[in-house]
Amino acid sequence: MKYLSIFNLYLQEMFTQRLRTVMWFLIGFINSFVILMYWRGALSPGQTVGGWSYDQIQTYYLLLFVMHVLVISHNEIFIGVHDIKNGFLSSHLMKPVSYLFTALCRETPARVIQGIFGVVAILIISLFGFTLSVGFNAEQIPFIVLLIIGGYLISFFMKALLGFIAFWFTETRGFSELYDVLLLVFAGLVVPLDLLPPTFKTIAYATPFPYIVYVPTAALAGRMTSHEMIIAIGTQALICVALYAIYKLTWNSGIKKYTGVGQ
Amino acid sequence: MKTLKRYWNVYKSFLKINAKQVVAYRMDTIIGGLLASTVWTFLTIVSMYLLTLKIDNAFGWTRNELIMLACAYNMAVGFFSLLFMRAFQELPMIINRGWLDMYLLKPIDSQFSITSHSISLISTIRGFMGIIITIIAVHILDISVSPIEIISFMVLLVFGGLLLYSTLYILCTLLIWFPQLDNITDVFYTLRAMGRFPGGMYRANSEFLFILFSPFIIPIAIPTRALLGNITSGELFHLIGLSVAMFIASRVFWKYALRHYTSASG
Repeated sequence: MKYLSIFNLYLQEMFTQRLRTVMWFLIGFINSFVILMYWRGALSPGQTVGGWSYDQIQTYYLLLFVMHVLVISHNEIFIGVHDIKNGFLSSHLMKPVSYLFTALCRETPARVIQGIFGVVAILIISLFGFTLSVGFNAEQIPFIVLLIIGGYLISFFMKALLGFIAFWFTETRGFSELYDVLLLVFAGLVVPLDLLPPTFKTIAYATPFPYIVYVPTAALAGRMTSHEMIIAIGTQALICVALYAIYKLTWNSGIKKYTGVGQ
Repeated sequence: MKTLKRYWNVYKSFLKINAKQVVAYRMDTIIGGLLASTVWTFLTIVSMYLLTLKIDNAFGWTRNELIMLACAYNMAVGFFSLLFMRAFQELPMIINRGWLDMYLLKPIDSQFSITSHSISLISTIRGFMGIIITIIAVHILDISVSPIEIISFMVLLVFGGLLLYSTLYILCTLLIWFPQLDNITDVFYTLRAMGRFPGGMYRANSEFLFILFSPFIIPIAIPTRALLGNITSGELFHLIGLSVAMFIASRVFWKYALRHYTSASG
């Protein structure tokens, strides 16, 4: 019951910062929309590039935008700056609630609300000549939901670990920006992973990044079979377990460094 | 002349303070500055390389010209970040916590002191990396440039920087009414990234979009066209006219906004 109350409180808090939420939504929207405009101009209807047709590319970037705002977490700012650097972690440590769960409750409402905004936005955009044709069938829906949840959890844990860097360093911006660059390239946020040069593609699949955004997007676009989705879900589960283990180790080590005085 | 000298002395003091900060927080400089500058420099070029991997030309620009645009973007962003970004990133906190009073009470123009007190010296790295990569790109891509084109590029880049500065200032002035919008500079970064692509791309989709987002699209694209020897007089006047107009608008809007500043922390 207490966990539900905490979730509810953070959900209400999110609605007190509506304009800020809209700004974060716009960031995700503009990033994907600009690249979509590039492909709409660079390709002509009927043309294909790397096995992707004009319509498939459009669908990919529209779905990518929804996944971007739904799945990509921004909790490193709260954890690293607000909690650790400014000392507000102390209040969380004294509460009889897991910090991990609190952080999850703080981040999840924003993702859900922005995901809803995203779906509404692409439905409106598709009325203005942008092609949106999802290719999955009804029996794949549970798999897709699991892929989305898996992608969110991977993003959440990775961003939490980024935030924990603040236990050891006063400046974490460089690490955050390195992560953002790797995410942009290896999560398919610039081009679909199928269009990457072979070396880039091999490196990408050796990292967790494709499983955050690219895999759920490809599933929604109908570019994965049910068998491939099941394998991807299994891979996501393994990644989550590994990230959770690293999270626990980093937390136990970092909390000993925490002084609670703020910077 | 005396006023200019006074402002220059103030700016030198700001430079000294910021230089000492770089030395005091060396690890921050290495990790925050060097690492961040390097990764973003390479991302801009790598992403344009990936986007043009299977395309020979787009929107009236060849693949090589689009990659040149990415290189020029890095250089421009590096020097813009050096001069202004840290100050603008601190502005939401300054306004939200009521610290703007300290700037308003000083016998110096508030717009000047707010936007120049904090200088990200480490961003020089990105700027110089941008210059080096641009020079390398000119040679590798076999693009011929004349001294006139280089000078035109640099002069127009100054106007482009003025346009970006003015646009960001107008956006940040909104913080007077909406102090909780601490992510407004992140929105600016995203909009500024529209400048990685040529104006023709936006025009091809919607003339209205191009006009609306001109302050973000043209600051780097038009100087790059000057460097490549493709600039038209219309583009030249568009950039210069818009940058001067937006600068004047930013000052007028800031003066108007200060009448609504209540000095209470958020």
